[in-house]
Amino acid sequence: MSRLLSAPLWAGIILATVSFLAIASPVLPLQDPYVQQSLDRLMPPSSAHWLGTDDLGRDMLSRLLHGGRYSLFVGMVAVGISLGIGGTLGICGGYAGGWIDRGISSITEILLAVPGILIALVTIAVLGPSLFNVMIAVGLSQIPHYARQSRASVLSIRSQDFVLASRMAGSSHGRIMLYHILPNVAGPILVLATMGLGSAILESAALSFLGLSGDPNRPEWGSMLHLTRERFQDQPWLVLVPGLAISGSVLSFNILGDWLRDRLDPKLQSRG
Amino acid sequence: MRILALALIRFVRGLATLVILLFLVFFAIRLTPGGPAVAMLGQRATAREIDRLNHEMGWDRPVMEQFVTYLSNVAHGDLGVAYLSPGRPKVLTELSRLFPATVELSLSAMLLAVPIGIGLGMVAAAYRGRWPDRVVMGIASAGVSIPIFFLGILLLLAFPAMPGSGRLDVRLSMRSIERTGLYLIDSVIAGRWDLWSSASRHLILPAVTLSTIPMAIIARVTRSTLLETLQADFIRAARAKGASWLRVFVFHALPVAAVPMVSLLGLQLATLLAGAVLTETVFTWPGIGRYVTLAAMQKDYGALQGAVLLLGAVFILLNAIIDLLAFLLDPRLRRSGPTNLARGRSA
Repeated sequence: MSRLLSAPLWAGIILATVSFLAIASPVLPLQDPYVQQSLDRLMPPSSAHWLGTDDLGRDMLSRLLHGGRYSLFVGMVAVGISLGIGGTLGICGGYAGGWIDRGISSITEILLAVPGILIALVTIAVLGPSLFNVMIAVGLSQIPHYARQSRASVLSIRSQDFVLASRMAGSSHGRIMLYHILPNVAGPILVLATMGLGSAILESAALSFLGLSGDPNRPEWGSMLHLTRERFQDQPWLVLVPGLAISGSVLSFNILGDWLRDRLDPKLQSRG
Repeated sequence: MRILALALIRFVRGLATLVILLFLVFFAIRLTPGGPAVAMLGQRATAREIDRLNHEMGWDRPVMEQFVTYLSNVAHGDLGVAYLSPGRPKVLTELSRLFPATVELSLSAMLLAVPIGIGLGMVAAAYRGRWPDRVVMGIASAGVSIPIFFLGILLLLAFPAMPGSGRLDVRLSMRSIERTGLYLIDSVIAGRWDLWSSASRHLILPAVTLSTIPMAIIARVTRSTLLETLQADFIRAARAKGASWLRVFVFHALPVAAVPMVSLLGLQLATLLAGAVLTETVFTWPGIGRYVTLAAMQKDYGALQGAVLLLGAVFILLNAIIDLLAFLLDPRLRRSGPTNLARGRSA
């Protein structure tokens, strides 16, 4: 049991460290992640460059830490989009019932019947390749999951006595949704968001890896892999550094999400 | 008869979903600044050039009218042309050339993922809480967290002798013996073992890469469903009757646990497709995944519509088949009738 308890702890420590380094990267004594030093191209890890340099002589450590800001931020905005839109749709549909619910549910089902990657690719094709549009694309493709989860949670509580009591006391529908429904469905949605953060980071890194996030020189983890993947045989550190960063962060988010879910809902314990 | 009714309902619903999906894509493309004409001619095109092209391609007609025309063309087997590719090839020709590559890759990945995933899940369930369980679950957690494109690169790094791009050695060609487009099958039919070994060497790393995420998820779900099933009363009854543990596990627990696992397969298809897009890029595998990525990047809307149509149709069709399969496997669903099942996946 102590082993199980320590995994989320480690995940938390890793994420705290990654976030701190990412946020603090502008003030840390690092080299500029964009500055090219033509004499120091493709240097293996050394005391001057702890993680080596890339093909333009840019310091990989600096790019890694600055990249954390982009990658984590992109994931958070994407989850924010899907949580905001999907959660609102689900709560409104579940609470209102009737034709509103049927309409929202059919849209959700159509979107669920389409692979997320297609939604994301079409969004990028329409809006154009940029990091901002990657956030939108990933956010849009995840909306149906949040809508479905929050609708299901709302359905389970909307006819309970405290909701009826509040209604009889004269509360408006908006007030009930905000003060009575939302706090009670927040738990499962929060779990979904924590796990969704991992997959949002993964998906945006994937789109960047495909070269769909605009400026390839931006030190974003997926873009770094996009730029350096041809060099994996001769300069493996160029792919290992960003790749391990993505894997570590996503694994940590998944472990934390699992742990939160087990904590908040013992019924769902260890379901895949 | 119920199964037929259900199949019919699912088919109609799938078709409707597909048409709506296509319309959304169609509409969104025409909402882009300048529309497809600007994507084709570039930002510097003059208004007159754009107007001329719009008129020539029929893009100045009302969107609904264009959509109906497109649908009727599709019904006649004409998916239009990929107007940004050199020579403006027909989208249908391109798709039918590339689709078998994706099918071969995905099928091989699933052939790896399903048996290994179920096996690992069974081991984990049988040794619950002991080290085999922990090892399997650890691998499963890592499996869903490592980006699939990074994993592909790692595999290439670990096996430098394996080919890293394409489906065959450059000097070989399948042209003379191609039938299904699945190289492993075609070469066996023709008895060309040299081609078979080259094709399989090229296939192994991409297939392993693509199989990891479904494998990890299948292992997790197998484990949890089995654990849940093993606690049920009928298992205890079977044990009390004197059936051996192995017999109970294989004949009593597994068939019951199979139902959620089949439904799970449907959910894995989306993962598989997203994985195929990335795997095909890492291994320069000439399939639909790469095609749709390039189409999205270059804004080749003709190609994009065609690819979305094909992938969406395959995805919806397979999901419907899997739903029917779950229906056949689960006596409870069979008894409760098709109507409430038809409203949504049972999972």
